Amino acid sequence: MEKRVTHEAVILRGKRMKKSRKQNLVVRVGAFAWLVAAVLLCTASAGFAASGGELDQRIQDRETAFYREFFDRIFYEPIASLLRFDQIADRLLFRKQGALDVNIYDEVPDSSFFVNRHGRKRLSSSELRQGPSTGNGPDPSGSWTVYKGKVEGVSAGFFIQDQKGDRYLLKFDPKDHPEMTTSAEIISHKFFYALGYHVPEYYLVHFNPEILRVDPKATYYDENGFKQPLTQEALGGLLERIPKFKGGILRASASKIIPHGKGYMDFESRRKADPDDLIPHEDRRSIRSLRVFGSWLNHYDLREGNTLDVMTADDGKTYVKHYLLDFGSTLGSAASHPKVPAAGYEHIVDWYAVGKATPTLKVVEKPWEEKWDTLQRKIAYPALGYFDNFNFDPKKWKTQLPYPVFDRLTPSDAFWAAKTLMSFTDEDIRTVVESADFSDPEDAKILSEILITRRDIIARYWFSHLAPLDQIRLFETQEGMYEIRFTDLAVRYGFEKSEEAHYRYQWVTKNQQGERHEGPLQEFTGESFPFDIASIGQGEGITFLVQAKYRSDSEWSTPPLQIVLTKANQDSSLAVSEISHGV
Amino acid sequence: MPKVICRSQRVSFIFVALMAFLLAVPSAGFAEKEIGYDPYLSVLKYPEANQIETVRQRDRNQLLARILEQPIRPAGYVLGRTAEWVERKHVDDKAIWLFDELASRGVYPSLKTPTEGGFGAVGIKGRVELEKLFQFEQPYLSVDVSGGWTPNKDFAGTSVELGGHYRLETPSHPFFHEGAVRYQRSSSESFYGIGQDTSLGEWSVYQPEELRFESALGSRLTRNVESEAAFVYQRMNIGNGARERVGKIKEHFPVAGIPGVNGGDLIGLVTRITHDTRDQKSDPREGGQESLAFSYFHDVDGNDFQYLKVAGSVSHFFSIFSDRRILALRVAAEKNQELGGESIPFFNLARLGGSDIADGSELLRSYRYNRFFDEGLVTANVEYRYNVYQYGDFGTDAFLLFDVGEVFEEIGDFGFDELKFSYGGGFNLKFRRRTLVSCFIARGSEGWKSGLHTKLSF
Repeated sequence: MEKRVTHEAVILRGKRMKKSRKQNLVVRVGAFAWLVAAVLLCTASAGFAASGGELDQRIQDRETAFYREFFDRIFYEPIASLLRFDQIADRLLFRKQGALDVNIYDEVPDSSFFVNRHGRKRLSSSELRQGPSTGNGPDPSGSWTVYKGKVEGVSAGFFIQDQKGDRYLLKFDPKDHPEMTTSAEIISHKFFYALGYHVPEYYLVHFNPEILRVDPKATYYDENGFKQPLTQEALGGLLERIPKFKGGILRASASKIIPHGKGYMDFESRRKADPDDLIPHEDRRSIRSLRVFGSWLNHYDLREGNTLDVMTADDGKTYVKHYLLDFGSTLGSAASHPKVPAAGYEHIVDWYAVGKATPTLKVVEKPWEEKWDTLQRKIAYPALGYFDNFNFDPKKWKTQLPYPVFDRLTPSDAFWAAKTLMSFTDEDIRTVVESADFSDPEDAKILSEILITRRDIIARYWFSHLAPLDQIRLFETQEGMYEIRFTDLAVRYGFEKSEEAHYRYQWVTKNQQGERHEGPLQEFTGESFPFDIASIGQGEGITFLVQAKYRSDSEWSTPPLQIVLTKANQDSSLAVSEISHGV
Repeated sequence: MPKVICRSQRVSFIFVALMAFLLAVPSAGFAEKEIGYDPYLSVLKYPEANQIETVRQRDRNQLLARILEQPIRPAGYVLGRTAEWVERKHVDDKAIWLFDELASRGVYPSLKTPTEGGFGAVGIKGRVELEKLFQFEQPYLSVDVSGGWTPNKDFAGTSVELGGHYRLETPSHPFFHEGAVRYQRSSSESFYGIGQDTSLGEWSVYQPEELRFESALGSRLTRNVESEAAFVYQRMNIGNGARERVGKIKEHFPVAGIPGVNGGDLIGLVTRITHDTRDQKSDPREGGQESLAFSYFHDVDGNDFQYLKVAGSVSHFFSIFSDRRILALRVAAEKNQELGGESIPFFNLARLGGSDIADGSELLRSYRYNRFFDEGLVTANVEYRYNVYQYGDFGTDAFLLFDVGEVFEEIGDFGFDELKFSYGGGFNLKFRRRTLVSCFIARGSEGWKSGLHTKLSF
């Protein structure tokens, strides 16, 4: 009986406990929900008020790796994009979103992502040669301590510290292709810097391996993937795989380690912990246009893993600066070997290309296959890798991994990029290429010619997608009489003949009631047209739509260039208040 | 006079001043001026894009527009992180090292698909080269053992195989001696009766268990031609198959009607000659392979089996203007002829149906494995393989397939109107011309079939 009572008591207690546990659970869940909500609210509201050390704490370091990006981009994204209404709508409606980081004059103002350099004011030859460098690279007067083997990427390399305490990552060429990877790194980082991107300091170094000393704590991953102590003997083994020059000298690119890194930069969305990062990255022209610049330098390894967000303090303000890294896979180099024939033409796994090729039964070869066959499947210049302009199509050029941000490039983004590209003269290009210090001058000559031709192919292509008119200037010639002058970049760079270039303009105004008035289309030649303000009337302002055409049988360029003129007040002159090349 | 001078001076002065005024007024009042601006001004075209409320609204809208994606995000995240972990910990390098290390010790593991294919089940198999494992390598002797295990289709039991093989070559002559032993057991294999007109409704299963010894003397006649003569002993036990809801062979068919349904012990003599000019065995693009074999078998257990077997096959690979387009052709024929009024055990008859020649049944890919049994067989397989993707060492070929075949009792029974067809296509995923995965889908009069293998069909 006692046992029974005890048993019932246990059951009762169990029931009570169950009930109490249930209540507890409800309370806990409630409390947890409130806590989460509170944290979210705090985070959200605090997200826009942080600065300095707070910012440094809030923005957590993060990592990615090629395999992760490969999985995300090749497998996850194609599936996920089928479930995203915004992307589906964009695709169905062929909708293109204009860039949000552009100013009223259709330029990209300076920011933590991009700084106008060569496109704004031409850099001198010495500035181009110098690139982002602030010093001379690792100090050759003393020994270099190897403190770690290179963990990621495919090229051979290790980390060193020189006598001054500066740290660098040394990267080398593959044995069969001396100068290929190092020259690609040196040349491309200078171009990207001159274009306006933030890049680390890279130095081309030639050194005797005897100055290398191994830190006793140094480790590396051997070729079998096992972490090993990096001994002097192991270092010797690593150096065996690197081409040596006369006297046993090694050639490497040394990239100065940037402190305070916070991990990679997204190509989509934004870093929500960063209060300055408000514009989605896919809507930044400076990031979309990497596709154009990448196509020029054949930078097929443009991916999030090759970027770095860095905490920077300038003039007392702490902010996140966005860097591009690792240029060893540009031009004809794929870091550890020359680029494969499909590089630049197809993604590493290209579902679209496979889907397109499968039903065609390979009746015709792909362009890159024809090219590779024409070249008898051989690399002509080992120091240049696989790089030329045969069958190069700026529109179809692809990065190794597909990123939607590059598909969001609009004609006006590409025009901006192409005109920035054209700011490099032939001589500028030769200057930068020669700074890679090729042992055979013929290599530098050929590479320069490829880049010059490629620059023109790109600009010619993108200039043809809108009215390529730039450097808009407004003159008041007489009281009430104005003249708009511009530069036709297609003519200026010799893609079109000035004597065949025709233009037309139309003014559009809106009065205060919102009624739209349009002037007649007026054709003219020469890179300017006058207008009389009295004959137009101003309303809220005047918009001029300007189009160009270069042959009598061709169409007028669309979309037209839009120039908006307004007056600050009744007594002041007209001024250019907006310029747009369309979406 | 001074007055006159003064007056003329005044007139001159006024004239000059007037001229100066007239000249000066247009240039001063209508002087052209540029109305400049700073094109790099930090005033955004869409200033609202930088406003916190707009940003938050945009984030919320995006979340709503992507609400359907949310359930798969955790899986994507976990798989992505796993991929990252693989790279950071160099798991791929370690895996390659492991396989290289095993190969250096003569151990070659691989995947094995069941005889009836499908995407559901996969097993493992392996081969061990003993001379490498025990480090007694010498140029004229090779010894290996092999084994494999796979679940049967729909997990109806399992298949097991074990084997051993050695080859002894003479130092200065092209002669060699080979010996092999093999044990195979499958808990369930399909059987539909004998002949071309059997129906799927006759589906039954049996459980074969085979022990086979082979000892051969051969000669490498040229670099590409090899011939041999072999003595064979075969012991076969046949039981009812393990698959549920399918007829058992000994219950479904009259035992007397199916020779060998109770198994049997046989000995035989086999002579064969092969000619192999393929440029690469795992992914041939040129050359071909021909083989012809004559065999005589006799029972040793009173089962009254005695027959002759003639079997041959020809395969050839043609590049069509490029090594990215390959036309692969294969023709095979077999005839078994009973002798002295005795019979041929069903398990040694010619077989047609399925997608892997190595399993003993000729290719007819829209039909089930072992679909047709009979004394004679003719089959032809055509594949048009073309490269659809190549990125460095990785490549993918798509292929169109067409199989045609027929089994018959006597050669005179062969009729073109009796031929069975399969057509379809698939993909071969390759790394350095080694096939990693081959998948296909085929259609014929008995419907669709799909399958997955780790090697080319032929």
